[in-house]
Amino acid sequence: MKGNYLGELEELVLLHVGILHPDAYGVAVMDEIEKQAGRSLNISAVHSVLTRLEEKGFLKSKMGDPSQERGGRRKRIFLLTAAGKRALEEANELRTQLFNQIPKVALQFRLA
Amino acid sequence: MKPILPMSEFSKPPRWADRFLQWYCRPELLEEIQGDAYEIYYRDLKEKKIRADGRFIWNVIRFFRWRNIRKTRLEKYSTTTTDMIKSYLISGFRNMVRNSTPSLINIIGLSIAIGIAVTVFVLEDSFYHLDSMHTRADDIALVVNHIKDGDETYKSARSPHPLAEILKNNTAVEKVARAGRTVASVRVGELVFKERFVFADPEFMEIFDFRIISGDRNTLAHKDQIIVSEAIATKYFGNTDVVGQPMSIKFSEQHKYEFTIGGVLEDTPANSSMYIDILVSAPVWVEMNKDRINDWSLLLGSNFVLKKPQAAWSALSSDLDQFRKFQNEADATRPIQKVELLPLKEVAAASWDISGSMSWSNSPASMISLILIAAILTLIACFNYMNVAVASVTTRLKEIGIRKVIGGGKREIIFQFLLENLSLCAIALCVGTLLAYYLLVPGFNQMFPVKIEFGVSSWQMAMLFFGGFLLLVAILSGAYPSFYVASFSAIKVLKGKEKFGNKSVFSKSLLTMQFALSITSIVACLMFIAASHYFERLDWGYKHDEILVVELQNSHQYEEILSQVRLSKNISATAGAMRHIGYSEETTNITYEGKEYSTKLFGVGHQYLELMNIRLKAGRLLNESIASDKIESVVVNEKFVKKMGWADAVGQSFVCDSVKRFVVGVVEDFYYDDFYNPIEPVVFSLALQENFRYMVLHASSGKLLAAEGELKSIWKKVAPDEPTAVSFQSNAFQNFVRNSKANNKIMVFVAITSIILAAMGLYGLISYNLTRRLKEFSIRRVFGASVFEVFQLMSGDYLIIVVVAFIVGAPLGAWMMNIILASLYPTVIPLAMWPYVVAISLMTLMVGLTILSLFGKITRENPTNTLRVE
Repeated sequence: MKGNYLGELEELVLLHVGILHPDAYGVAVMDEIEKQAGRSLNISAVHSVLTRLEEKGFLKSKMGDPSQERGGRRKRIFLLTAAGKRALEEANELRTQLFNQIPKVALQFRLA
Repeated sequence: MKPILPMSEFSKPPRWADRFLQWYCRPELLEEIQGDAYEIYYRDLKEKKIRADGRFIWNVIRFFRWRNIRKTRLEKYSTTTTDMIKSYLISGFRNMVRNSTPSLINIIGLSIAIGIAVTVFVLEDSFYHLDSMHTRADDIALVVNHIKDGDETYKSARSPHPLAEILKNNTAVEKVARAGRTVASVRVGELVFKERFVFADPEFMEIFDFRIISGDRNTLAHKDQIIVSEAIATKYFGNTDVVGQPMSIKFSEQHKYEFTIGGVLEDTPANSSMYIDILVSAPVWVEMNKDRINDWSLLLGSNFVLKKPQAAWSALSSDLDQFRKFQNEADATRPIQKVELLPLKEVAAASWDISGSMSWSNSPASMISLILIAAILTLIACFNYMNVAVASVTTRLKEIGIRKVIGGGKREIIFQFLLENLSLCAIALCVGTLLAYYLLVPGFNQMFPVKIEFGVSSWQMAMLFFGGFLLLVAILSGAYPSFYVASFSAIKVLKGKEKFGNKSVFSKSLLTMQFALSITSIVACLMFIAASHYFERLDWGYKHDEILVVELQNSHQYEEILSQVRLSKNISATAGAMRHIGYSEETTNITYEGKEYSTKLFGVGHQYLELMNIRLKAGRLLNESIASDKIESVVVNEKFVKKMGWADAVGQSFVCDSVKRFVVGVVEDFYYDDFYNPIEPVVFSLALQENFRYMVLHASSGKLLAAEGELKSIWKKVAPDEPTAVSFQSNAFQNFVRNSKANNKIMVFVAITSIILAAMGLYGLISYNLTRRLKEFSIRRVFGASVFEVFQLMSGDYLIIVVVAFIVGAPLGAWMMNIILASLYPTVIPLAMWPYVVAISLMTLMVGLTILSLFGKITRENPTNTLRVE
């Protein structure tokens, strides 16, 4: 993966990490995506995206507290980095910018 | 607060899946991944356990991604590890070169032991895979009959002749071949010899894959043609191009045949259990036995059955039952209890227990003894290695210390030493295999009539043996030294404070164990030799030194020879016999008080017992001039009297051959067969001269050889067609003597090897300890200790070890050998003392000599030199 290109799923996960701040970890992200976007992902998929994002520098992580329902294991809490935040903003901006360029007709046609 | 979840026994995810996750997952990712999986699991658990389990398993499988998988150390540190292995090997090699003597001792010791183990493996492997070279081997079986005889049941490979006709009609059977053995005289031109024959149906060559090198494979279909082996062809004709050549064969006086050679057989391969010299068509056999060939009670030859590839052996059971019925009706005295179809591949291994089997056999006792010998010698060599390796650590303490300091953990050091050991063992394995190939297997072949080819039955077998054996030896010998070395503390080692080696109890007990094993094998071997000595000197129950035997074809020969030797000065007495002690005996049943007993029957001539020097215990011997002796008088042996429970045997009577017999004399027990079989009840009765098959002659004192020469020249005149049949009575047990001589050689070899191994191990050990204590001895000498005192100091410990080892090892060896001897010989062999004396003297001598050989180091060296170093 060259540069800081943000894939669609990556963007979705990154957004949810932001939403869940400061309690974003694997299962929570998976649940939130299902709730908000209606997409059911496997936990392992969420995991690999999270680690990829961390490698790209969009996320940082720390170990949380152990909890009973995890059999006494700790969570890995993910937090947005500055780079991550900027990447989200850029993506959002790009999207709005592009969206605004769409001629009204096309939209109207769609509405009709 | 989060709700506390029930953590009962039932609410845990599937163990194997959890374990699998723990196994593959990278340790740094494990906590979060496992945590997530658990969290989901417990959430699902609230609904349904099966669903939760399923999802957990699914998640575990989905987590199994390249990114999450633990990388093996080799991949992670691939360059470092290969470099380290190289470094280990180099430092191991340098060490080996520096301490060349002990390393050489180790390699040689291991090589000898491994060589012997490889030889034993090749022997056993080839023996238990005999006959598998026949393409249809899996579909061939031999009919084996379990026959009840009196109180005992024995197995016989012989079956009645008509059995094959029944079996041939069975739809599951493809072919049946009958085969039997006999011995007959062969004459080609001037050459006359006795040869071994196999009579066989034409199907024999179709069932088995014996190779024909020239001529017709179907030769046996012709009654007047025979197949000879290459060896026979060369023996009589000088070459193997003999198809069409004539050969005259005399099976007996009445049965002389002229045959044409129809085919030449490749010499029997080493992996065949059946040896074939000459094959004769079965119809000849039928013709020779035509008056009784269809008798169901007569057990004649082996029946080999070839079944159809898909058929099951059970399809034959009703036919076999029918056969059993016929046989039992025909012969109620020795009924067949069970008919077994023994697969061809198992015939050789089972043959020791089957009478009349055509395969050569080996008793399980001897096969187990061989394995035992190999195991003991291998153990001795491994202990050697352990001792020397532990002692040699002295020279490598610094290396180990530094390795530990710069980051080598216990694991690395254990790995290093095991690797070194493994490569050493690999070298020893190669040397040992070469040793077995060039020395041991050929040596074995020379001693025994059988021929073993150096090879393995299959490559899987070879891989399993060589791989497994290498690993076993490497771990057995290397595990303790490596763990021992790895446990050193780096600081102590580098400061020179670590105590090690010689003083430890473990090292001493190792040495004791090794010596005990050596003594075990020495005592066992010597006991075996003592046993065969015992049999060599054993009284046969009669005097055999000056007796000559002539095997006759007919009674005319008896008269002819008699008329020629009557005036000879070389011969003092003659007698004839139908059955002769040491040569042949007849088994018969007698009836006494309504019960049947199996006895050996010897029909002998007038004066036979006197000539043979059979010792009379009570009554009188047989006398031809007494009329009743010719019909009803018998002489029995002590065993017979004991079996009948008679207090006074003379005058007792029993029925034999439907004639009432009266005992007129009792003779001492004597050996009529070799010593492997127990003495049984024996009956002597007078035989008519026309039935004589043996002529027994007593040479005048000191004229034995002259008498033999004279008899041979007389024989040439009497029977020019026959090979010489004159032999010494002393050679009656020739096979036994030859066998026990070969066994003795093996035993001597094993005993010597175990002494040498022990000596080598000791030498290596002492030479290390000596280097370590050199200073001590030098100081002692400076202060005036005599050479002898130093010698005492050095050897004291070892002598104690020898004594302890003797106390442990000698009874063990004696016990083991007693079991083996008891399974070989029926006679109880009196205990001899000398094996123990010799064993302990040998070991003591060995220890003394080993120390003495190193002793020069101390006496020659000037104490100042040793003390000044450093």
